[in-house]
Amino acid sequence: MTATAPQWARAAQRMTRASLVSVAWFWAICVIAAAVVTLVLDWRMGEPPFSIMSTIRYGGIWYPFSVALIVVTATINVHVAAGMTRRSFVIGALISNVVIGVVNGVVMTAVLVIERGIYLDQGWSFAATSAAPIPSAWGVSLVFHCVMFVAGGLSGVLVGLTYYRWGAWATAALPLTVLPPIIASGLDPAALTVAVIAATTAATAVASYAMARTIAIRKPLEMS
Amino acid sequence: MFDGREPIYIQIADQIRGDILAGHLAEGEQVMSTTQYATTFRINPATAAKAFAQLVDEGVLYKQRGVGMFVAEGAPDRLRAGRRETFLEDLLEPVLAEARVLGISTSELIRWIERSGAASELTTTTNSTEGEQR
Amino acid sequence: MSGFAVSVRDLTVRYGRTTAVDNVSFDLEPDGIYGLLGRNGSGKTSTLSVLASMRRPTAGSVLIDGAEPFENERVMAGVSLIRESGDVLANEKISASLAYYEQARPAWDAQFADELVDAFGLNRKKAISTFSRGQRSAFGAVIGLACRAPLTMFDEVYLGMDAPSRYRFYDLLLADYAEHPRTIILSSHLISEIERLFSGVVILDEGRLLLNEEVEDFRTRGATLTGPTAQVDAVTAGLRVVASRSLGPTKEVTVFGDLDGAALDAARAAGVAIGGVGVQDLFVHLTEKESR
Repeated sequence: MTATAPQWARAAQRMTRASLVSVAWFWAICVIAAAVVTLVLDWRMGEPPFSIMSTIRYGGIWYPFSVALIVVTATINVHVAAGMTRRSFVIGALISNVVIGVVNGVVMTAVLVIERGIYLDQGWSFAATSAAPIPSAWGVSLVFHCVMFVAGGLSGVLVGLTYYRWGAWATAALPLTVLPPIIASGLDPAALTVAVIAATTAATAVASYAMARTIAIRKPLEMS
Repeated sequence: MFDGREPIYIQIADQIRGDILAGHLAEGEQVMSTTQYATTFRINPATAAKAFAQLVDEGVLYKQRGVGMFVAEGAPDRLRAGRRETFLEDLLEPVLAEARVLGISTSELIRWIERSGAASELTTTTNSTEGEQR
Repeated sequence: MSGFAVSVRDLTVRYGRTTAVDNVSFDLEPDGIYGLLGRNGSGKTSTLSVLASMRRPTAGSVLIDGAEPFENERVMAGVSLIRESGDVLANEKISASLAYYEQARPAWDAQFADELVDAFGLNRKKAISTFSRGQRSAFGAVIGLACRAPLTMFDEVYLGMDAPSRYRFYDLLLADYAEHPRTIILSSHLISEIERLFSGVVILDEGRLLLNEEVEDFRTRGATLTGPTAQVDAVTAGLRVVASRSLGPTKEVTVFGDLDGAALDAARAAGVAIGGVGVQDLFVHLTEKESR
């Protein structure tokens, strides 16, 4: 993109491109690991006791969370030093994490569909662990996972900004932003879970935006 | 370089006048651009431009648009004439004052001037032409 | 695009209970090269940080090209501050940072940036984190110059470079400035090498503005008077003496103030030699004096 496109669009594109590379690696490693675990369980126990892919859900939340945290804390100084606004930085970070969250949600759902096909083909029973229930319908699963993963990424943005601004105090913000999705993930029905997560995620986005607008850029050596 | 107390642009102008008087810069010859001058001596281009503008005002240099600046015809003679006017007062007067303090007599001074005047005529350095006036 | 004007009004920056900048006001004309001078901890970096929208003022305001710069997209795009530690993608090769700045800076000159990388002999194949302090500083200089920002600021950047790189930086800066005039601020406490580049100086001392004037006015207000002690004392009576030292019967005094020609002529007649004082020396003397 040239310097004529809006700043926030350039920031969003740059961050999305950087994250997509690590997301691709994430799924490649997860799928290979799940395949190996499935084969081992099949060999030792006759059949896997539950959907292995469904356990990756937590990785799908926390991995983008940490990527977002690192990207935010490591590049906000370069962004502002290059003469761009905090506004464009935070909008770019939010957009890119929504995009990454949706991509992860789609991949997660697709992977579950494929896994289910394999289980049925092998005559295994397709069940989830109690900690990570599988929504009954695939459409619901898609929405559920997208919202869940977007929440993870946006929490990473907020915690990263908080950490950049207040250092150690950021740890206090972590339960505030991440607890609601975790608690909500146990709620039933899934629609309630989705609603609660979506609400906290919207609040996270608003808080990130408000905080980023006035943040002071430190000397790079203080952070590194 | 440019360590004097006067503003740097005056020192630059003086230096260029000196170069013209000494024959290092001939009539009609192109002088450095202000940019070249600024980068060569690591001074602010505006300072160099101010010195050059002063010399243009005095008719020592002239500007040819898009080409550069050149030493004006007759500039050495005009500079020499100007210097002669101020020479006695600015340069010789302090020497005489110092001589009085040191108790050097007028006849000693005259003898010295005649001797060094003759020497400079032999070597024909342009710098000491003022000295021949006495 | 030509340079931005800068207007600082009653600027105060505090960090907790520490006051880094205390009620400072000054104005800079567009297209000048300014020296922002001050000893360590005098508030130079905090002042520049506000100009570069790195932080908001605690009180007071700054106007750049007539507008408040903080979160102002147009103004921020035209203001560049190169900090010594460097705001770059340190874990990647220089090409990543160059691409980053290219998409961010409207007036970026990519070809010029490449020439500068070669001029400073920087390694294109290694991550910036492996660079020496001098190489990092040089890369900062590359970015600061190639941005061609209407307000370009360097905060002590050249201190990390060795002498040949420093002189290369001065020459490249001057040559590019002559072609693309812009407002430039160089902040430092070591300025003897560059004092003739300045059109104006702003001196900060312990967070306060000590002085803001054209460099020629500043320089010509200083003088050294050297001669027999009695004569020097007689001439300097009533003048502001900022430094003085005795060498046997001879005394050398540095004065600062509006010196009239008649007084200087009288001094000369009394056998006192009059010399110029460099901006660096004047700055050192003035800030020494003020902090006592």
